[in-house]
Amino acid sequence: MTCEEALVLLSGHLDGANTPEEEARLEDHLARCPDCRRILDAYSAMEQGILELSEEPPAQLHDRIMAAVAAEAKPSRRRRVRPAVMGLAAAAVLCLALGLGYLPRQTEESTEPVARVNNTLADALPVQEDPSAQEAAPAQEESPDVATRELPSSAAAPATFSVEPEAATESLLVELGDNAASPAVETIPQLEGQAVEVDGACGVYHFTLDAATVRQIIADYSELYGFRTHGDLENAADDTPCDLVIVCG
Amino acid sequence: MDTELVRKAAAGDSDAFEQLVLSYEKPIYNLCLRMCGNADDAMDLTQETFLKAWRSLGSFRADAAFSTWLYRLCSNLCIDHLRREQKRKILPLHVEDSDGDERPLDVPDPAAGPEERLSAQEDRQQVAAALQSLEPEYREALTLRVLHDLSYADIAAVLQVREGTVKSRIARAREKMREAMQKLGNKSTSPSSKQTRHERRDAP
Ligand SMILES: [Zn+2]
Repeated sequence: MTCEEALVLLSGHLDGANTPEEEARLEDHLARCPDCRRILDAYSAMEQGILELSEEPPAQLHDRIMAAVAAEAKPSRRRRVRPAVMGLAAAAVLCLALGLGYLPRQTEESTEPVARVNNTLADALPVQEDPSAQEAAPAQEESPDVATRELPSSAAAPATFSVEPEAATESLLVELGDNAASPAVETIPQLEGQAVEVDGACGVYHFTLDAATVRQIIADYSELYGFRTHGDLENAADDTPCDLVIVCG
Repeated sequence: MDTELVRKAAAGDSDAFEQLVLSYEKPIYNLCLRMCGNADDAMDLTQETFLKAWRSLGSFRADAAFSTWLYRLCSNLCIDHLRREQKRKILPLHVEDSDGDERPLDVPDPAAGPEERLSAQEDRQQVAAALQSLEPEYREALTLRVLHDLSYADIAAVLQVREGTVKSRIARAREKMREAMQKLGNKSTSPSSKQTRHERRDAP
């Protein structure tokens, strides 16, 4: 066994995580290697040192926490997901994302041509930054039918979004995977303090953020929450406003 | 048991929530303290963690352990805090002199005898500085393992990585920390400390 392997087993030894076989091999190595014996001593001392870093919280902390809690309403339940309506909610969100993604952006910059508006998700959601398309004049009077921004009326999935499409030029729809048993949206720090439209019944969240932030969220949390994304922002400039729609289900 | 308190707290019972705060404020505070390195930020982050937990309890699902869920909230808040702080953070192993030159922190006096022990307070500062010098993911894994006595499996659940990753991350964290301790001048962590001391003594 090399000393490098021994380091891993030394760590496992301190954590009580080694198999008997690993322990035996480690013992064998330690018997022959004074360096690793010293490292074991050093690790043990560090262990003790770390334990001694434990501190009592400052006396006022508890009251501060409870005062902040008291200043809040009851714990929110509005973000609960009702699986029975998720299919409908997801469909509604697709409409929303489609309706939002390709509206002309009301700035002096060139914008996505309205011709891109498309009825299929596969065509519509991935954004391509086509240089020639950037020359196309923003045809605001040809904006897609506003009706596409309205969710299908349904008792099960009430349309509660009010959106400002002129601010958004990109869309990203994110579905949470099966491992998203935790309140994913609440734990994503970039979303904290952001204005959010919440469909109370369905666990559908709609944020408007810049593309860089959305990319960061996707990069940081895709693995954690099993994000399935529809559309990508590869070609969007960092400061491009982006509609981020998250569906928990 | 947490489950019953969590159920009551989720229904808006702040007395039940206070029991949870009492159980977890110390470990959460200590995780924040190790992650962010100072008491003020640690208090803020601890408060933020519990406030977020209170707000989100409605969507907590009982199939996960409450402690795991709480540590994960806390961990995400700490990591985000560190990202925000990153720019003005130089700390780890060097401090700046008033003239802007960097000098190593806590260089041991070469004239001091090898058996001379650091005071307990210096020792503690050195351990804290060495831990603080690790990258956050190493610092966090090692802290949760040693200070919070979480198993590899629990840490894997908090950090949402595989157990094998936890194991190797902690092993690497220990070695990085030992190296940091050596740089800080702690002789007991050096495998070839006699030689090092000899060289130092020969230096002009
Ligand atoms: Zn060895």
